[in-house]
Amino acid sequence: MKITNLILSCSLLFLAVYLHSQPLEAEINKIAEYRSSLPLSNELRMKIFMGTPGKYVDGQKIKISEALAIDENGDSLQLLHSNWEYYASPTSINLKMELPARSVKRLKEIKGKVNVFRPKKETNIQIKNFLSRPNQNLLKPKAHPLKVAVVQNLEQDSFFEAFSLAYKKSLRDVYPNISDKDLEAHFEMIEVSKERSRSADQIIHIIADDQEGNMLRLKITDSSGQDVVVGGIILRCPMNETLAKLLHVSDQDFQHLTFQTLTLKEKLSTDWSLEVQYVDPVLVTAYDFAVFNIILP
Amino acid sequence: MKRHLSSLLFLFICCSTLLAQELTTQIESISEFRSSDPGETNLAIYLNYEGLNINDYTLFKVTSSSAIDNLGNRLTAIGDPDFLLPSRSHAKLEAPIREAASLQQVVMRIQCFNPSLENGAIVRIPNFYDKLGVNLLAPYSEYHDLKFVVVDSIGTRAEIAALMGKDTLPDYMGSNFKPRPDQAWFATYLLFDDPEGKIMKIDILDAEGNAVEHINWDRLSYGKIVQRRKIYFNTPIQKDWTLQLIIENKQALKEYTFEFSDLALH
Repeated sequence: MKITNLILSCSLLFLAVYLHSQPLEAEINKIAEYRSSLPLSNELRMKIFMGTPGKYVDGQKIKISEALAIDENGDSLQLLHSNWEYYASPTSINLKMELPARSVKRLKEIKGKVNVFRPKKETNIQIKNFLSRPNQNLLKPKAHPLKVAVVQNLEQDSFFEAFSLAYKKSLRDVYPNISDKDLEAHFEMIEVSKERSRSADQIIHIIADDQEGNMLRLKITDSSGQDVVVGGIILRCPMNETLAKLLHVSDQDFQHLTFQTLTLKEKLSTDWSLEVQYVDPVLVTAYDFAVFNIILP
Repeated sequence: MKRHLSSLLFLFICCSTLLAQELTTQIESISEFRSSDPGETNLAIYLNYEGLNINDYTLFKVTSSSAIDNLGNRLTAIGDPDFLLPSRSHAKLEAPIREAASLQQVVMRIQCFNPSLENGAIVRIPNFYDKLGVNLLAPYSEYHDLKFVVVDSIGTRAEIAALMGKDTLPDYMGSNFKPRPDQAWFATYLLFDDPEGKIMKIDILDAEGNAVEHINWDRLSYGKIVQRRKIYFNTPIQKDWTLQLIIENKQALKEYTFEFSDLALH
């Protein structure tokens, strides 16, 4: 009897380990190639359909954190970009990968990891009187992996000039041969942000150290709890000493810059609150996934 | 000697002017989109232009009349090209097969719409708000097939029909519409009868000739028989504002053919 129980337990354990080690089955919903003579406009976009085990939690999100594709010639393609997306399992997840050579007709496989974030109330943080503490991290460093600050006294011309230079450098690091003309085609949002900042509208600038895009929501609410943000523009680039100085924050505090220009419904008021929701790594479960034999269009 | 110099100078100016009128074009970029969804796959060839007196209103329509890849396959043009801003104008073709590495030859027909006050394609009507309810294009004989009326509020369908010189209006014009007295914006109405879609752009200019910022164009109806639009401004309408219409005409249209070879595919 004891031996039977032991065998049964071992079998169950073996089955559980086996199932856990098996990658999730996934399939491609849609695939599109963007090929261009402009180097920044080349990518393979896919919608991958998959479901993950586990209990559904309201507001859960999903993101592909790692992916590597191997084409029919054995060449590998890296993951370029993936966002946190709403997730009601099963679902389609968007991802962008490097393009294979033009002559490639098939990818042998894509393998990677998908992260599921199941939020708890604590990941919604409300910061009251946040305007009284400008140019400093509003979150407690030991409690929260994210950094957020309100920027005041921004010298806009100098800042946007420095931002353009830093952004240009970050693109040149990845695409060393890119021409100035091709680069400038990607500067539209910087110009829009600059114009918005100079407009007569009520504007607030908020920065975060969030290279991975883990800040899911940022809300500014008035004393009655109403959201006062009408719209916003987000710019991202690596932080450097010049930018940190112009933003009046220490570059040790912010490694990467997410710069938000938010348009407000009304004039700034000291009784407003800032609400931030972010992905806490502790609440993230990672699953392996795999897709095989992908025919390119 | 002095006379010869003057003649030479005159000749030089003439040649420079003629050269300035010549259009030259280069390939700006080639973008290919291949999709698993049927009907979406295509190749777009974007151009840049030099040499013409290109202004803010210059538009180009590009059609590929012949294209062959390096394997000898012919690629047909797809879609119905429209006049677009220089930075957006492109020829759209079916995508080449994966084995193709380049386009051996592409011939493009480029139509350029280059409006100016001189060629009559830019029409400016000063103090237009003093001329409510009349056809503002009546003095322009070349645009006898167009009507353009500005009103400060829209009355009954019969009144609109009368303004446009018609017996009745089509159903899509909707019911009577008047601006609410409590609305925060300053609005005016533009009614135009443009059967062939010749009016390509409508601007309102202030006394200094700058385009007046407007909140939006509210296109209340669709179709090219009679259209009505409401335009909202942040500030009260000024009587010294000018209505500017960009209207397609033959004098402003020119056609060119360009041939390109050995265009690499990516």
